[in-house]
Amino acid sequence: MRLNPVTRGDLRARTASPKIVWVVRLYVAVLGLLAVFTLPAEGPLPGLADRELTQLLLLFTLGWIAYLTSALAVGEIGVEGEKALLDLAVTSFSPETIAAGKVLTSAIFAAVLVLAAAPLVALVVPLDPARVGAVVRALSVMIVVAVPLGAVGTWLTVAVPSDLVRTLVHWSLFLGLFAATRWLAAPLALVNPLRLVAAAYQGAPGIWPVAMAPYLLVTAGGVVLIARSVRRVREAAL
Amino acid sequence: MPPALFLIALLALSRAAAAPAGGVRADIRVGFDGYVVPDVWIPLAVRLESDRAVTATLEVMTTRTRPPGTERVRLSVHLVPGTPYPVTIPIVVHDVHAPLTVRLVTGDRVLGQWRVVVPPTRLVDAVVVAVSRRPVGLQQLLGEESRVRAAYLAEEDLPARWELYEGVAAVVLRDLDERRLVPAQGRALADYVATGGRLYLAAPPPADILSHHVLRPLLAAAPAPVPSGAERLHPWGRGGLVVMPTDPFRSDLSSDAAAVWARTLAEVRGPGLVDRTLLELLPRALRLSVWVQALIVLTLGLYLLSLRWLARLLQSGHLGVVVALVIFTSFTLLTAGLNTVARRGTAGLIQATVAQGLINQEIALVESAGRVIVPRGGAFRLESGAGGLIRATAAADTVLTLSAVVRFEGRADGSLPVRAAALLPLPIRGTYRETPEGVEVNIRNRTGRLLRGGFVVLGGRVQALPPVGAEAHLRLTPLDWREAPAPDAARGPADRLLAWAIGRLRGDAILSATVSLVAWLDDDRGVLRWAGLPAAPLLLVFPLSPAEAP
Repeated sequence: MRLNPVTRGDLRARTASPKIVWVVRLYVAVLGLLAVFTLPAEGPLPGLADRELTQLLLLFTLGWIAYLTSALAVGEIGVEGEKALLDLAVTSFSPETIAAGKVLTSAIFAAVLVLAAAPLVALVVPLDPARVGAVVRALSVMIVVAVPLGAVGTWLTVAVPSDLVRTLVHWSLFLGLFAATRWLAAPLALVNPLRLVAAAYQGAPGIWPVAMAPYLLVTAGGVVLIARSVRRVREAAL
Repeated sequence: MPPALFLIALLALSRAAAAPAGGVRADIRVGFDGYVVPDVWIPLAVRLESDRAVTATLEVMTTRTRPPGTERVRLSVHLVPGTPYPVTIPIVVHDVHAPLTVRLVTGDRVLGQWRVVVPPTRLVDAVVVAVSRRPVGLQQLLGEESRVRAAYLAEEDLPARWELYEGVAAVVLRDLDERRLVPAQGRALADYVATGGRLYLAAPPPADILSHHVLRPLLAAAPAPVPSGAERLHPWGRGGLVVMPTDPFRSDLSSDAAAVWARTLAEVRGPGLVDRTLLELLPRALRLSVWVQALIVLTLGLYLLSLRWLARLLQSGHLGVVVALVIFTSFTLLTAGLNTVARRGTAGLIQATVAQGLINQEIALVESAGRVIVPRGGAFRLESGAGGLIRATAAADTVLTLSAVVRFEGRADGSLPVRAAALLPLPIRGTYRETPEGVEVNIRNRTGRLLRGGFVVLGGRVQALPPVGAEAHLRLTPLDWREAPAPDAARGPADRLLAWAIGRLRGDAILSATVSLVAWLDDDRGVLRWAGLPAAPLLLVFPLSPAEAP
């Protein structure tokens, strides 16, 4: 199986970038610090039970993964050597290949961040099969949440030319998703990524898997929008 | 409804329905004569009958709703057809509104299940247990509205474990048919008195009851002077047996005698030496070993440093990706292992055990207050080192199994306070004599263990003692007395515990008046045991007897 060429190029640029290695180090260090503080050396954090501690670590991880995936896609964290959407528009790749490649980059990078967090999560989560299963479920949902943010972020690089305005729009979307959805009435409130990951971790029977559908729809919509943007750029260039 | 009928109806409610279930019938009575004292050990008497031979586990389940918790007590029973099987199970009722269920189970099969309802009106502060052929009159002396109720028991219903007297304010005996008592009941009664209980003998002449062999050892103790002069007090451990010259069950009891009984029964049983303050002295967590902490930090550091290398591996083709995944997995397994080590290393029992020597008894009331620490939640298992009962003092799901080894198991989320008590032989005798030159102290220690880090305490002041082996004769000069250290000023848990004990002695109504020895005894019998953890040393608090004049 051959990897999408756009994704291959992006991943090569990201893995070779010292900046990205430092960003991932910072992410791992912060999570590691939280994991160490929850160790029972002086007892767990006051007032928090084991289950809550794991949930806290997972939600913290979600925040990081969601931010890093979208910030890299929107260009807020620039990666030297990674081709922007405008650069790719003038290549021979089809718009669909470019769109799918960019979204796949976000998905693989989110998965790598999840993988990088695994040793830290393993330091905190009790080792019984039910809890390990719950954590794997929650980590998988994080990728589902992060990918549409990457897709929309990529589209914003063409849709909003101004860096400042793009950053503002990115943060508005990011905060809107995490904060504004908290006030939605049940069961729509489950769309909130924090609630969704918490529900996946708790594994309570309910409609939480359905709440992933909007994320998948946004991802699909993002792919369509990116492809259309690439097409427009090419038409404009002609 | 007439009051008597109402009472009978309530009493009937507090007894479980004896409907046969699976060929097994049960008659269940909870508390003393139906009265239930909450949050202390009380008896639940079950009389089982079966049409066939059954070997099963009898389980009593008490629950509480706020905060939620379920406590189970289990006991193996062997039923023979046609022969009633009476058994008494110690239980603690916290909430009369929550269900109390008795079940007979074998494997996964429930042979019988009975629900016991305790009417809220039977919930009392304490009971006065009375054994009398004329079961009337005592409640009038206690006060009809009193929350302390008179419970008239037959001899065979007296508890056979001293712990079950926890909610008993006093025992009044008028008639006692010794043939209806088993030896354990006599011992439990004596131990109840030794641990601070009050036993009154209604013994107007000719007072046949005084010749009963169950009471003879208690009556052998020389009577102490009593202010009123009419009754005789025989001190026994922390409590005493009082011989009263009048019969409180007589309808023609004189007003003077009634007043004496009312005053006597109204005396509040003094608090024990060990209370909740002992638990507050204990650390709240077990420290994780520095080595494990260092290993965790080192692993995370290595992981951070390896990220660049891992990134390079991800660039170098399929093999690199596979190697990177193997390294990620190895780090994950390593941290999971460290997680397990950290959990095991910080799970355990933190306890303080105080052994209070009972004067001239050569036994000690050993009480343990502890915290089961399961830092991130999980199961725990304790054993009772001396067959004593163990209970949690906070809501939790627990199981107490009464067998040759008493086991206490359950699940704790973080920390669970527990408490246990037992009476253990303690062959130590000590006397003191105050002379113009100071205080002479003689100690005979036949435990075979060293008494170390000890103090003699007198009136809140202390003098340090050298280690005491089998025997010690010491003269404590007046200039060497020091003020006792305050618990807050003491360094380390051991010193804090010593300071706490000295402080408690000062406030103890019985022990403050006498000279006491406080010392550490390396006794590994331990009341609370956690497998793999060494038993905590006993802090011995031993009252010295005044020596007779030479």
